[in-house]
Amino acid sequence: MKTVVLETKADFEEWRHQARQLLLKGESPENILWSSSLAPDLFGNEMPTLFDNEKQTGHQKTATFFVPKRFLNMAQNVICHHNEDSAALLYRLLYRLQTDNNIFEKIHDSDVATALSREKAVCQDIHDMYAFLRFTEVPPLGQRRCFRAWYEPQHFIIRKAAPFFFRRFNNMDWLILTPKGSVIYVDEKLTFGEPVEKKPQNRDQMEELWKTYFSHIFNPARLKVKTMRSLMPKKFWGNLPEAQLIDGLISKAERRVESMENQLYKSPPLFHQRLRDKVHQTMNLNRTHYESINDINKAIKSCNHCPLHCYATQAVCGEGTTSANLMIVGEQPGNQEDLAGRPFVGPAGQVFDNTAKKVGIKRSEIYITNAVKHFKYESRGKRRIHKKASRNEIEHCRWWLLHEIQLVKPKLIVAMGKTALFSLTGISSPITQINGKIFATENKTPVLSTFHPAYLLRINLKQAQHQAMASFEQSLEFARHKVNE
Amino acid sequence: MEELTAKTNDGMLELDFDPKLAWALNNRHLFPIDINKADKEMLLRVPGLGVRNVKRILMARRFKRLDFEDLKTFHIGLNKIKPFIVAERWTPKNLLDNADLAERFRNRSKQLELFSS
Repeated sequence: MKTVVLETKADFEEWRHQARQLLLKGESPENILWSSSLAPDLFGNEMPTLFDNEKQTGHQKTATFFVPKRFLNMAQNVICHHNEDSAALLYRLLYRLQTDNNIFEKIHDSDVATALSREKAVCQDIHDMYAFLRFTEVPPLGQRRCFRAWYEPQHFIIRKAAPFFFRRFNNMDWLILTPKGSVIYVDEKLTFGEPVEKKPQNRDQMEELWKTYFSHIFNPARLKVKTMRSLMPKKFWGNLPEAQLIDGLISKAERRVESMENQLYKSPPLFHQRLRDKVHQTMNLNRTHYESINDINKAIKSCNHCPLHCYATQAVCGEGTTSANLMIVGEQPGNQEDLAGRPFVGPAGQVFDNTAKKVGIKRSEIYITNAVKHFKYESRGKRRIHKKASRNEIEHCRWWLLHEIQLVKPKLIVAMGKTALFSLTGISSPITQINGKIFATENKTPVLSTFHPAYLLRINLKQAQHQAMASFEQSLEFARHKVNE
Repeated sequence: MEELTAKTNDGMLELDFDPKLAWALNNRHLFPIDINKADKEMLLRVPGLGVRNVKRILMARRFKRLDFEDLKTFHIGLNKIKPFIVAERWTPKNLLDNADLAERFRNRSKQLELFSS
């Protein structure tokens, strides 16, 4: 019988070193007595011996052995267990692992079952420590503020749990005292110390504040005592300052809920008025008659008939005079229009402006608007790429367009692009085929179809572009003549 | 669901037993089940064996024939499953055919009458 001594409790590295030496010598686990002190044991007929590290180093290099990662992870936890024979259990498993690779699948085996349950218990204990540790401030030991905590873990988990607190609180000094070892973090140095048997008495101002906070976030209407108990078992209550309040809060909960229910009606907060205004605005939408263009623009701004309003910055209303004879209808606002809130101010708008100038049309004399009032796009990186409006969206927006026509009463409408033409007349043939032709709306207002200026920008071939430009110019000129007749 | 309520009159579940136990008592001809040989589907039908324990049994029986000691290490309640399984060194003999088997499992606790006169 041979006695091996582990000097520190739950020190995985020490156990690993000792176990490695024993295994290299091929010592059977029955002949080893693992002890945590140097005192001679009843069965240890040899005096405990500590291995001489220097002698062993040469030996170590020649012979190595491998264990599965699962075993290492488990051993690091199991060694922390409070049971004295954990070291022996682990060595037994390690010894068997040399001949039997499937050992972790043999869950009926008592050694494996015990090790697994101990691992689980230790992990749970560490988890609890993370949750139920409470720090109080004490006079500083170094440069920084210092905090102290007292905790009573079931197992020797200080070394396993310390890195968590080190990561979490590395901008202050702290010490955690427990009956199973302590850990001190002062001046950015982490040291493990002696166990502390007695709970230190100290309270700080924060405790009262924390208790006040805790009692205020308690929701009496959602009281679930059983769940609360299972998540915060009573064994931890001793070290939690807020735990004293729990019983009181539970007993008063029922009455508090009752009083909340009985509380009289209070006047709504101020922001309700704003919400109500918004609702009124949306109610504007369903009117069948609008007196002025301002009236209709206000309604368009709060339109939510189709989902486009969710993504666009704002609705882009029509612009121009109500007494205009000529009305220009585009497709839908683009990126720049969406941001500016005005129709035809982007690149396509510039093309239109230039052409209109050439043929002698002034913006102030016409009414210019879009078939769809909101910008539809898809994001590509930081850019918002224009996307064609769906039939459904066009049909929803037709409502506004028809009301605008009703108010402006133009002699001629120029529909630029397929979307505008479809919205006005219901015709959906390609513009290239019907460019320059005149159709009519339901109310018999003539509609001249032409290209959309954005389309002109997109044509790649120089010659074709010139041709289309000329055709567009011709259409506008024709429109001006027609209106001035 | 149909399977569970097939033998009852009104299509309701039995109140005295849990559904799995009630099904097992009504289908005794399928039992006992040998836990060392039966497939997963049959093991899951044994009252007292849940998904987790069935997985453990399937894993462990690759290495040895399981007996009651092994079931104890899995924390399986033996009283309930005893009549329905065959294990190493265990057969239920005529326990399964016993007329008062259902009586043994019957829930004896009774809700007290609140307004009893």
